[in-house]
Amino acid sequence: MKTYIYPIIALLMLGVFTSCLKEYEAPPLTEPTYTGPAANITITQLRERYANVTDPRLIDIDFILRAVVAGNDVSGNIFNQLFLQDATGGIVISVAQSSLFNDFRVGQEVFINLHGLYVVTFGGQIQLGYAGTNANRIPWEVFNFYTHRNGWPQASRVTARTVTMNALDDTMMATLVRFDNVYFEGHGELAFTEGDRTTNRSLRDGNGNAIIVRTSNFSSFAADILPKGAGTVYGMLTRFNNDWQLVLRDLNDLQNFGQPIPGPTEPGGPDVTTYFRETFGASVSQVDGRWPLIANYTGYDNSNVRFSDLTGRADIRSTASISPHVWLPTGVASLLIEGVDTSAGAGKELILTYDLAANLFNAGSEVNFNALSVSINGTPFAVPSLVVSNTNGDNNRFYTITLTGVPTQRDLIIEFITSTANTVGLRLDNIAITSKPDNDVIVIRPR
Amino acid sequence: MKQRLYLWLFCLCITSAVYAQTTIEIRGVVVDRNTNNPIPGVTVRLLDAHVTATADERGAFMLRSSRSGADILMITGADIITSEISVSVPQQGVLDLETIPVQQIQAFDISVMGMIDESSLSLDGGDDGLTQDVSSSVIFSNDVFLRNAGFQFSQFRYRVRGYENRFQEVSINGVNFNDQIRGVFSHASIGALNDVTRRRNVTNYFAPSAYSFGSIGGSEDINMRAGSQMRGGRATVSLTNRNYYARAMTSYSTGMRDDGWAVTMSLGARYAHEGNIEGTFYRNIAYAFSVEKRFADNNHSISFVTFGSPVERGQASPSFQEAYDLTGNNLYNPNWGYQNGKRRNSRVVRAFNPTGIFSHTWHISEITNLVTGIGTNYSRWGGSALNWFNGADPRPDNWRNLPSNFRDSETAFAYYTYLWRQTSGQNRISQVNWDRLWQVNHLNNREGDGSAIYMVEERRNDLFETSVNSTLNTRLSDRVRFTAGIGLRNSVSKQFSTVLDLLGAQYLLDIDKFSERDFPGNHSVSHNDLNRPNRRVYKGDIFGYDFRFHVNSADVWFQQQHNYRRMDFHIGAMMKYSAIQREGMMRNGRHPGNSYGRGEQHDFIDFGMKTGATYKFSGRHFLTGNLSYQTFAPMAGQAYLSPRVMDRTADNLKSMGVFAADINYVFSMPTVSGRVSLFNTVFQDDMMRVSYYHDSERTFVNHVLNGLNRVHRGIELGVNWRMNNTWNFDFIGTAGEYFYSNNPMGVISFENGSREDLSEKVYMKNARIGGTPQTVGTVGINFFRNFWFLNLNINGFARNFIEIAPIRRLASNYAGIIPPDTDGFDEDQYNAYRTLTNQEKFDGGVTADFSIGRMIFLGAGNRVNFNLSINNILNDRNIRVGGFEQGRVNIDFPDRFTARYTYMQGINAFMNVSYLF
Repeated sequence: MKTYIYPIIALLMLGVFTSCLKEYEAPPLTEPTYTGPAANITITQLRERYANVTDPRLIDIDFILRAVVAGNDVSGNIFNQLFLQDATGGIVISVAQSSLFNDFRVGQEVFINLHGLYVVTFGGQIQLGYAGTNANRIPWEVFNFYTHRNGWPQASRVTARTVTMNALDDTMMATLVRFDNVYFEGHGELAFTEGDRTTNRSLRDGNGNAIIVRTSNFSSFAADILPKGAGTVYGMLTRFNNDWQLVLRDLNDLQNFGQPIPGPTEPGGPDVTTYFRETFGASVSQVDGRWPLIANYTGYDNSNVRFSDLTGRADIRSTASISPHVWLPTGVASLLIEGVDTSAGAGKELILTYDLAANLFNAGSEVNFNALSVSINGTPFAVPSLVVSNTNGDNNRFYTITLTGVPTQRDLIIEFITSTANTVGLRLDNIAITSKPDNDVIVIRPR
Repeated sequence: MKQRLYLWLFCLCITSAVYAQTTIEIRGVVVDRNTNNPIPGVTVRLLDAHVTATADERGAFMLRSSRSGADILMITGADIITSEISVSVPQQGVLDLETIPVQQIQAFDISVMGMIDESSLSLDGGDDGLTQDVSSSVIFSNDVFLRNAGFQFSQFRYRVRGYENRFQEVSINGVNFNDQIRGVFSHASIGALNDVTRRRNVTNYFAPSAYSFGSIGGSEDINMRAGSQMRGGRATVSLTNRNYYARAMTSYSTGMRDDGWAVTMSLGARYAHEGNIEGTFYRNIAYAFSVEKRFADNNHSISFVTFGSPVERGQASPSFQEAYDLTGNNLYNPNWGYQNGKRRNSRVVRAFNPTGIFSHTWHISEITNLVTGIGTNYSRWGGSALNWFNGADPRPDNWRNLPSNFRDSETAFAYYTYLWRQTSGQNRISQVNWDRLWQVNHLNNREGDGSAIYMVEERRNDLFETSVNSTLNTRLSDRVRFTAGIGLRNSVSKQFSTVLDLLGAQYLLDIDKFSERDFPGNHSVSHNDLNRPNRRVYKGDIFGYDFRFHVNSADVWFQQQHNYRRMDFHIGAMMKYSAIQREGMMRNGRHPGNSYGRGEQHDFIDFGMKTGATYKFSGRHFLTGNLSYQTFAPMAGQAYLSPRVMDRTADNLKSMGVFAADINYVFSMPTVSGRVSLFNTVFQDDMMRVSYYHDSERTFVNHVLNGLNRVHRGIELGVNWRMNNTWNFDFIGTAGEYFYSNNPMGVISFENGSREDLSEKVYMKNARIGGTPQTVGTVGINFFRNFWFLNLNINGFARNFIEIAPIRRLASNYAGIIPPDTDGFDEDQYNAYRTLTNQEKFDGGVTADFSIGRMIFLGAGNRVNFNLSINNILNDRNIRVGGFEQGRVNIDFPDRFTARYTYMQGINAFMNVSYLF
């Protein structure tokens, strides 16, 4: 018996020893520190240097860029891209990796050795990328080779520049911007995306300006409904060819929503009274593939006046960046508004304003805005003459036209009618009758 | 169905004619000439009288003959040199030959027995991590083919006749231990307990057996009763360079004492801080305690045995050829990486299945005994795996991380190739970057919501099973033996996932982040458990899924064996009721209506019939044939579409039918003995469930096939030629065709609900069954002299096929691809279609194994066994022994989702030293 007891004891001890489960020590979490050469180029300098790049161009100089991550793919709305910005501007860098935000949080400072990367273009804008890869994205390990993080991320390092829609410029490209007191067209009704694809929605301010908000169907908020009312919107400002677009990073970029929809801050001031205002509703959709004709449309702001079109050719429509408006196709078409009540303005001088834009999509196309004439109670009013053209970048650019001498009475009849001089198609929107402001009236001006 | 039932009842009611005749009993015990150890399982035959018996686990046999006079008693077996002795059979009474010494060929006890180890036989399976065991049962067979095939071919993943392992039945002390969920016996449960599991009764194929109805792939009963263990002690030390490098085992048995008590104890351990494959490790201890008491003149025996073999081991997983080529290592293992400078494996199995068996044996009379046993075991099985939420796939060999993904950019391709070829250093991209995973979680603690982006989960697959079996053996007459049994079983399978390591994150939010994306706006859909929405889970908590399978069954069976002078035959039949039911412990947000609580119970009535006959040309030449038909209820693990998240089975669940037939010529001449067989087995209405991980949908995709037919047919040859007492030779081989024979319907189910369940026909017809060579053979040269054993085997194998992914064989994958010579033919697309639907055949090859053994007698009954076995001595490292296709199909990049392969280890050795006292 005794001879076998020892191996048994030995085995028992071995067993006890080996039966403890393996444990692993947590690795130390050391703050990343960049120790390489100092930065020697800014984003704006980079943009200027490579402004005319079309095909991918290798950066063959030892440029070191120091920047902070301002936008990433945290919600999946941005895909395989980081938005970098420094004090001078912003730039997009494309990286072939999902969930980049895990390693590159907003507020992460990075140093990038650009020598070996490429400048590429997308939608007419330059980006940092790579040649020969899918969508010119930098392979992940290649990106890691060139990119060094410095310090822990601090979201507060990234500040948004507050901007207005009618004052956007190239220095804001690919940077984080902020719009105050804006609302989504179709708010509270439409979702950010529809039909399993990337979708453009319009964000508007009180002056009728709009910008595209572009949302991927892969974002975590793709099927959420656009927030009601007005609020503040943050986002990465991009441009695709001539269209400014805003890309949300996640739903935290929408702040303080639920405020009243803003009215125009111009031309009226606090001393201006509005007697009639028609914006043609918040949204319009096609029925059987056709936009509703004037007589069939039900989304007018004013339900106590009658809208009609003697020619039966005009309709109400919208585009990705233009809210519902009256479309006056080429040739003769009209909008007749009956039953407008301006009697409350008795004793005051009233003005009629409306926004007009021309469809100048084709190169070389042009039209004179006086192709649209206006009469009130059957009396023709003089409209200004202004030739707008594709060459001047007037395609779909709205102008606000102001006419004076509007009578005060019940049952006012206003008629807008185009002549055969309308060779391109006109868009009519935001028709209003207000009291005349104290300052001088500008007959025609860009909206 | 009813007609089948009547047929079965008819069979059950057959009573045989009872013969009354004087017979003579011939008894004896077959022992090893060198060690005096009994040799179980050998065949003992009286040549002129045409009667045959098989030695039991104590080497004892009993023959009954009605023929007196001179005769020859022949003793044959797979591991002994055939021995013939002249006997004179008396007119009546008993002839007791007492011990009959014979010579063992391969020193089975010291070489094969010592090496049997489920860890060297088992293969790590697919994504569920369950081990696919190669049964050792055939190794214990007395058939020269099965014995050699089982041992020699296991390295090629040979499965007997291509059958799945669930068609091999294993019982311990008469209690069935094939689990009711997967249908297989867990050989890991007796790992490192070789000393107390060496007593086995093995039944070849579907031959009649004394302890169960059996199965087409064979059956065995492991006898762990203390009284059946050899008296004495044994200590064994083994060194090897496989999954582990050291093993120690020790055991002691009192043998059956005069007071009727017997006690056996055994302890074992296996260890490797790193196995042969990088990143793997092995830590195991094993224990067994067995006690038996015989009383009432040895007519009653009560025994109890308890054993367990807890193990923690790091797994290797098959990878892509590209990864093997880049690392220059066909045993490259993607599972591990460095964490804080130490190697850590992401896929670790922690298993422990304590088992207890009470058994009662009652010798009711000289010819009748009743064995009743109740066995229960709780199997805790956990396999760890990385999981990630809103993070990139951290597995190093995912296709986005391989150079081939960057073929279009020369510099990127070169850089990735360069990085992959770094085979040292802690930050190589060919391994898991644990430090980065911790850092990502840390950043999310600082700047995000603190929920784990990367974590390690443990997928648990526990099983609590209780079985009762009772088996009666008797003789209806001298020529008719009758065996019958009943069985009752209850199984509860618990499958769930737990948080093993949050990798520094604060918690994990128990939602399916991917369905959040697919059903945005509908936030309830993403909850894994609507009963506890928005739950934060921490280490040890259950999350993701949690459900049970309840399986209950009852069976009754009988067998009758008739032995006559020229002819033997047997019949048998069984009937089984079983019920399976799923019980959900979570209300899944994607399936709120059918995930929580008990679902519908599915009941099945199955039956089986078997018969076989042996025609004896003479005492040395036999022709045997067997026929059987049996039905099997669907396995719970295959019947449900996505049991983790919902209670839905494939439509029209029905039992599978298995028709098996074989015909065999068996011969045993003084110097040449062996067998030639033809077999044909048809499986009808089988089910198959294959799960794929879909990396862009980030979910498991389950594909359940219902009504799948298979054919297994082929030829087997096993011959032993004894030149003299020093040299003998084995010639073993089989060639078969194992293939799918129809195009069943399949249902595709996305676990995260991102797509609707989809039914579609699967074009499987004539695809080969993968994972086992369909042609394999060996020539063995055996030498024995002066207690030295030498053995050389030259093995050849061919026609091993990749395991196909049924989901690639849907017509809808290739809609729009036009055949050649048609308008709009696109050659690239057509070639993609050809590539994606072609079943790869692996190269065949030749290997050689060598072993040497020595038995050293120390006197006083003590001795030392020594054995060294070297496998693959030609060190061929390019032998593919397994592989499976990926499920994803991309027509534009047909080479993107390539197959994963498993290679055989190069030269490897196993050294075993035992001290017996």
